[in-house]
Amino acid sequence: MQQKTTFSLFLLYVCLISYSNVTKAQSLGGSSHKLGLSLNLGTTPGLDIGYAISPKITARLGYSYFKYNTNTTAKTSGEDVKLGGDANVSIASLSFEYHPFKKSSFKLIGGVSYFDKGQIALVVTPTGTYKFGSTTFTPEEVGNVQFTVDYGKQYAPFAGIGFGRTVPKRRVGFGFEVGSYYTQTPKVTLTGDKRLSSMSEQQAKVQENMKDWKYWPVVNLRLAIRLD
Amino acid sequence: MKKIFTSILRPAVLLSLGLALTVGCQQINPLEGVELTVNNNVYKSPILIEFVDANPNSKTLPNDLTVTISGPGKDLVFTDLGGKDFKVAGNLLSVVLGQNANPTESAPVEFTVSVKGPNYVSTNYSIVVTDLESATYEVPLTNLNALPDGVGAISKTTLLATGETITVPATSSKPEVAKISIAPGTQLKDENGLVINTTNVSSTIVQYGTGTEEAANSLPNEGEGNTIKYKDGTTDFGTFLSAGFLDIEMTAGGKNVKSFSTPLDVTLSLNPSYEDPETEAPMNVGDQIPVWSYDKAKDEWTEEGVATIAKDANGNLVANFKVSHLSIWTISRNYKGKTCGTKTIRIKVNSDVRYGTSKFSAKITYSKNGKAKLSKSFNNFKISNGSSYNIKVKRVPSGYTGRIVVTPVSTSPNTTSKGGSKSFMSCNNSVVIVDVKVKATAPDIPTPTTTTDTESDAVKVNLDFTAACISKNISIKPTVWLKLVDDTNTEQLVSVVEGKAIIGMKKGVKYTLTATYNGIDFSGEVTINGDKATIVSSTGLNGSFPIDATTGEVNATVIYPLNNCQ
Repeated sequence: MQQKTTFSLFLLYVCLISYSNVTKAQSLGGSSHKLGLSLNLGTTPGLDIGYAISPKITARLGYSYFKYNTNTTAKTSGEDVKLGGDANVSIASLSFEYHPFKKSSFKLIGGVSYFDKGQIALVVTPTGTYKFGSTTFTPEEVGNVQFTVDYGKQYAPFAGIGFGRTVPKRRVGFGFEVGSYYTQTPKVTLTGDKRLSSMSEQQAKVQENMKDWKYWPVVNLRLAIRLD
Repeated sequence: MKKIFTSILRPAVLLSLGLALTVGCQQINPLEGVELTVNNNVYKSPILIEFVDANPNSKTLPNDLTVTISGPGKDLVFTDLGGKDFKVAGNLLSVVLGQNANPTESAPVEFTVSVKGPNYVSTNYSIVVTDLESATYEVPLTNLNALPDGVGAISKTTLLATGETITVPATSSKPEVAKISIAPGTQLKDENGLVINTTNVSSTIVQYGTGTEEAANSLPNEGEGNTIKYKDGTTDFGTFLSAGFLDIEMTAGGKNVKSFSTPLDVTLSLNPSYEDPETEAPMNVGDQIPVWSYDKAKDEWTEEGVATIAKDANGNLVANFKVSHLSIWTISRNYKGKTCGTKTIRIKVNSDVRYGTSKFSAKITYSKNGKAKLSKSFNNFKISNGSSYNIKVKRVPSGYTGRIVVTPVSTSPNTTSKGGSKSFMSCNNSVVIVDVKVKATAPDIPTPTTTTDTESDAVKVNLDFTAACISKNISIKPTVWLKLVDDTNTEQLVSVVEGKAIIGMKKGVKYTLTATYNGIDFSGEVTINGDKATIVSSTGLNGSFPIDATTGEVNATVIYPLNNCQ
């Protein structure tokens, strides 16, 4: 966990340094343009429509949709397993970006989102045979484990920082945002079938492990287009 | 540059740092502590065979026992882990039926366990499995150093040139006397029929009377003959109602004696209270009773002839017969039709406790016209309101009335009954209701009034067993037998199925837990005090016993290592 945190901070630092130049270029002078469209690429991909209420504040209406399926193999706890993953995210949001500095595109972002879907499902299937004493179980006999995380339908506040404007001063602008939703604790299910049916007994442990999973991280690159 | 840093980057970095820390401080791995847990229970009908000393006053349990499995269903019998290397852990042998077994009343799986051990008389015990439920069997073994009531034994070395009449004398619990005469000059032969070059022979003769339950039930397989060879060459099965039997073993020149040049002369006196099971009248001079031998290795009875009842010099009724080879010999009627063989009795317990911890004995007695015909005690009878058990009784007589009486297992001779069943017909298949009132002295058949969760200060314990593979990061939920012995030596045998069981344990009492799996004992001690407890003094068994503050129940997790994983 410590390594992951350190790595996250490093990435954040690199991004900030990189975007300081972009910021400098975009943040020169004021603008009378009001409307912009932003395409997000990152953890919550989607579109934002922005309306500049004032030179410092822009209101945004956005929608993020993300669906991803994966089938791969991995080694977990020394065991070869097949991983089937399915992420399904649908979020509508109303947010505001505040640019405190006249000569910078640095911004603070705050808002609220409605999670229509926030589900992650994972199916883990052992691929090897297991032998206990004289009894051997094939992968087909062993079965698989299904793990789902569901944030359900809910409203969640969002806060973040970034660089770049949703209504850029030029026709096209680039930006970067990092932040987090504050959600309710997701509902976890852990089930197994066939020989793994007792995995469900460990669901409570996983739910406990995830009791603090209230911060849904957002890291997006943004391509903004001025519409007026 | 400095202005950019102070005005823009510094707040950004601080904000980012705070944000990253917030996200980073979440439990990153939701599956931390989660283990791949495999349910390996593909087997059926878990069976625990408990070898006990036939003498209930014996302070020791049989150990160093070796077993073999034979019989028509032997191929369907496996160790817990699916193997065929059957090992007795302490005095417990746990076996299961294979995946292909489908035992029913009409198509049971039958197998025979042959057991032997130092200072114990070797014997055979047949098990008839008729369902998929867990079952325990108590197999009494005759301890030569602590003979049970109704059993006599003698060891002697005889000079073959002079011969000898070896006498197993009467005792207070065994009025029968056995005399075995070795004629002078008798030659001894080994299992290949070759004469053993020796001048003397060492004999160990164990005589079983008919006056006690312990002795009567010590006949191999408690008198149920799986294979009986008659003199006319036919083979059948049946039930022996013995008038007495002998287990004779002789060694000479380092070899086991199997036969003789001159048969041994045996005189076996009858118990004065013995009645001919056919006529239900006392035996008389001139009556004849069949003589049978039993081959332990083949689990096979052979009709050897008949003995004519006579009177000895003291006026006692005796049966005289000749023994041409060594094995178990009995004088006995053999019945088909007068018994219903091995009977499964389905018991439902009504009690004022739901999770009892004390040890009880259920004694089944079959009688007619006030005379008891057969009795059999089950000393691990568990009192748990609403629970159902199947117990099996061999050589159940037809047309008799059965009744079950439950008493605490106690050293006190005046132990009061805590309840029992109403009378039931011996060969019927109806469910027998056993009413047991534990909390107060009760009449024979009490009617429980209120049911409480536990017996006195016992608490309900929800057991969750796991066997953790040593070589792989996976676990299994075992079907395993657990023995709990408290500090008063009261024992509970618990069948843990796929890792789960519910038991009762008393607070402040030290329990020794022993899980028997694949011929290995894993044990540890636990005393539930306060709101939690852990297993100490462990031999491979670890676990915790936290008490749920809301329910008052203990949700125990117990784990032991498993080194048979690949």
